[in-house]
Amino acid sequence: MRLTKREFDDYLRPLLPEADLEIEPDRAFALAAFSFLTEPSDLLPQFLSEWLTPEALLDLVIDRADAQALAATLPAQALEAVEDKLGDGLGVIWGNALERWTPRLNRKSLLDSLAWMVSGASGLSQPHRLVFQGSDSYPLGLDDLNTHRPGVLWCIGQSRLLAAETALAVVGTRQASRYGSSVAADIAAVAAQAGVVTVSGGAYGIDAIVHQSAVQLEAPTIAFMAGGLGHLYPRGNLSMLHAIASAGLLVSEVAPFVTPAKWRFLMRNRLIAATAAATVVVEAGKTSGALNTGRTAVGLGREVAVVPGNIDSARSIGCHQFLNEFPGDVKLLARPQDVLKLLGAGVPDALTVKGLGALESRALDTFGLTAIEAWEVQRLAGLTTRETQIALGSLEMQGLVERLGTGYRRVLLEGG
Amino acid sequence: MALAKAFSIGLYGLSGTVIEIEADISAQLPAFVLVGLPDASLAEATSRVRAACSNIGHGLPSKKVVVNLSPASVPKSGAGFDLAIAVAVLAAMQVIDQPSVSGAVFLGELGLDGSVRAVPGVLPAVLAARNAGFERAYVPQANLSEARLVAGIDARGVTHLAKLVGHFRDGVGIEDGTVSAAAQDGISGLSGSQLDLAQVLGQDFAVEGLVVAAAGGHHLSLIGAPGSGKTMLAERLPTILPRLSVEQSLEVAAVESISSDGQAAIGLNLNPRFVAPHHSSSKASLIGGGSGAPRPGAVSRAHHGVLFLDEALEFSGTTLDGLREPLESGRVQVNRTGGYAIFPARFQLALAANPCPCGMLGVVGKDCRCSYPAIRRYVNRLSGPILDRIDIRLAIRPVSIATAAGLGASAVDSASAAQRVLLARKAAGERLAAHGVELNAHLPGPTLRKHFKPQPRVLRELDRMLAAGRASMRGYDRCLRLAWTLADLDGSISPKIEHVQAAVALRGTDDLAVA
Repeated sequence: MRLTKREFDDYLRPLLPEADLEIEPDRAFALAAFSFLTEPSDLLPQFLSEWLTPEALLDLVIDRADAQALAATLPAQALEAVEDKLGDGLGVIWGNALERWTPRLNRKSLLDSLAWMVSGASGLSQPHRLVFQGSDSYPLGLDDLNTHRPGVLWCIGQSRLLAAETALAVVGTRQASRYGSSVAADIAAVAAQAGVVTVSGGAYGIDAIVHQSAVQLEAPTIAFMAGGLGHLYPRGNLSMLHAIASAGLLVSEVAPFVTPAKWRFLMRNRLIAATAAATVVVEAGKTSGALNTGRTAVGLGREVAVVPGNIDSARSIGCHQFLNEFPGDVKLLARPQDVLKLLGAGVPDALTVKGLGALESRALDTFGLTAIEAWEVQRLAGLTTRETQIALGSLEMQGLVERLGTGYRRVLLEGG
Repeated sequence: MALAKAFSIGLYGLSGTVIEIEADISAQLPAFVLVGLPDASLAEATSRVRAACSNIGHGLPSKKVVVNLSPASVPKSGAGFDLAIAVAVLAAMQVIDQPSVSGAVFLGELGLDGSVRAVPGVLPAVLAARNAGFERAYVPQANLSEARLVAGIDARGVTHLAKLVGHFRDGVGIEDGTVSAAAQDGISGLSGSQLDLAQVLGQDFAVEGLVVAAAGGHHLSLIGAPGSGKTMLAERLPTILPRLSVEQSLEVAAVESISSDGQAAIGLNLNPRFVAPHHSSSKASLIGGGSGAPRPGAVSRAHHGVLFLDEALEFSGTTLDGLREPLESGRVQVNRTGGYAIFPARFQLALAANPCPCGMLGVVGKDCRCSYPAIRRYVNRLSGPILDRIDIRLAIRPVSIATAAGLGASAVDSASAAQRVLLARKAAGERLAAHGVELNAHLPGPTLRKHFKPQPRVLRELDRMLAAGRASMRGYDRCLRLAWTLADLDGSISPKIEHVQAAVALRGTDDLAVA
């Protein structure tokens, strides 16, 4: 069942990000195989991975080994942990697992999926990559999911975005209002300006607005797909999803030809919540899936905020309820710019500027994220009128501040 | 003698032409005919002259009187020729002596009783007469003060046709000493105005900007929320501008003379004017023109002074576009089928506008209610060529905030600011004399870049800004001009880095609302 050297070179090596070329071929194949065999909700492979390598587990599955054979490979505390955490004896659990997995055990189908990725049959010219758990490219945040983390991520686009230090998830209803759409676009723009990767689900409504705004601003964005990459969904967003592949990244934890079934959406949400350092729910109805993402993020200890809406707006009810559900954990996003605070970034690195004169530094320190007038700069920095003019002129020449209306605002990224 | 002539001046715009008025009396069927391209109001002169002459006891003979206005090709208009026509006719009737009237020009409208009434444009007309070599001018008594502003010609005031006849027939002195006190010394307006920069609260940035604008002659825009005191500031710009020279003052008085109804006393007012046309003004009233004889507009009345357009973006687009020519050339040319009139219009433009239709755009702590397209439409009313000429853009602080913050009066008062402006202008004038301009603002871009480029070290950041596309070439020129003015104000020989930096903060942008 394991891959020959040649098969590895043909099917897997072309899919590895440059940073991950050192990965053990058998481990990679086994992880790919499990993403093919199991549903995203199936935590057993990751649960056992603490004591058993994926390739050893795969061998047991292929051999249709019985529970004793499995138990023989596990230490005693592993058996206790299984009873403890999974609630059943190893015999029952393993029996059920084999029943679920073996019908999908088909080497050729798996190789076909890999071949689909390698061949570029998707019609997309961007790099197709597999990012394995435990490799350098694997998002740090996903490890917080523990046994719920995916073993492999199927990617099209810039897989290096997964390693971004700060990502912001922006999610919300598919039936976005004009208000929700404009707020989502503003948030995406703030993130884009600060160089923060946005993460969402590629769906209609808020998701689409976030991705589209990022694409238009040529800023990085990641869309987590519920189905396989061969079943990009929703079809109505196809051209946008293609654009994401070139400006950002499309990711799925399931093999390319897995359909985007309903339960897979909920599982997909955990990836969005875990990948991002902060999650903003822009608009959500009472039962919106975006709340599921938000709750997962709260559970993971991520920063979470909701955008306030009208008290009588059906599309904001979910946000408001969510805010009350987790007092303290869920914050209210008062302004789009506040997402940067949420990320703990405060002021992104790009804002620390070296080599400024004393006047300029004093003036620049008075700037927050909103525009302020020259006389406010003067007051806050304690400069004379002339000194303020000199400082602002100098900062404007250097592209560190720009005019807005009658005032000035800080330029978050030079040239941005 | 049945043929006589007298001289008057025909004005077209501000330029005067000597009009020779010939009167011929011949034995034909009685008639009074006026020939030589008169307009309707001038054609009615026949009735006025006939009545006036008969009412002073020199009724026209029962013969044919032909009056010819020459050169016939020049269009003539208005009642100002009445007096000259009457004199020519009376000379033809040999009531008065032809040689005694030959060296003089006559200006004035006649009443039916023979009284001489004021007319507009006496100053430019007398100026033209003097330049044509006339020694004497007889003008309506009411206009004598302005006629006296012209040196080198003997101006006499006339109240009544009968007195003029008496003067020529009997050598009776025509009164020339009863000129009003204001016109006696010929100069007014030296007394201080009530307005002072010191009255402005909490607008240090704008006040500083005004001083720079005054020193360099830079056009400026004042952008701020409604009620922030834009007008208050602009009104005080003339208080820090240098006094007009006598020559400049005469140019202004000439414009005021032809735009007046002839009744207002025109004196030699050395104060720079502040002209603030309302935003509903027509193009003709702002720029000049109008039906009938071309008349100067607000831009010409603001000659050597300040033209303030409050709510500048509420003016119609075509009206604003009319500013392009005067901004470019310092004058307005009004073309008509019969010729063209040129009015001087070298003004300093100050325009005030809200940042957007609702006025709250970019005002910290306020919400703008305008849609993006609405803001674009609003700011686009000022076309690029006009924005290009606006060197300074001042943000005006809402005055309520200033007072609430307990901010004191401006540390700058008009007298000290005017002194700084004067010194800066002197320095600029000496430097620029070789290039035919007096003010930094009037320096053309190529000359500026060729002859007045500071050291590369000083310009390094500005060059980088240009290279990075954060400033246009025109914006670059604006910064350079402003930097020179700032250096002049500081008494620096050439701009330093700090002057360039402050210039960037002051400069106008290509977009009125947003950066």
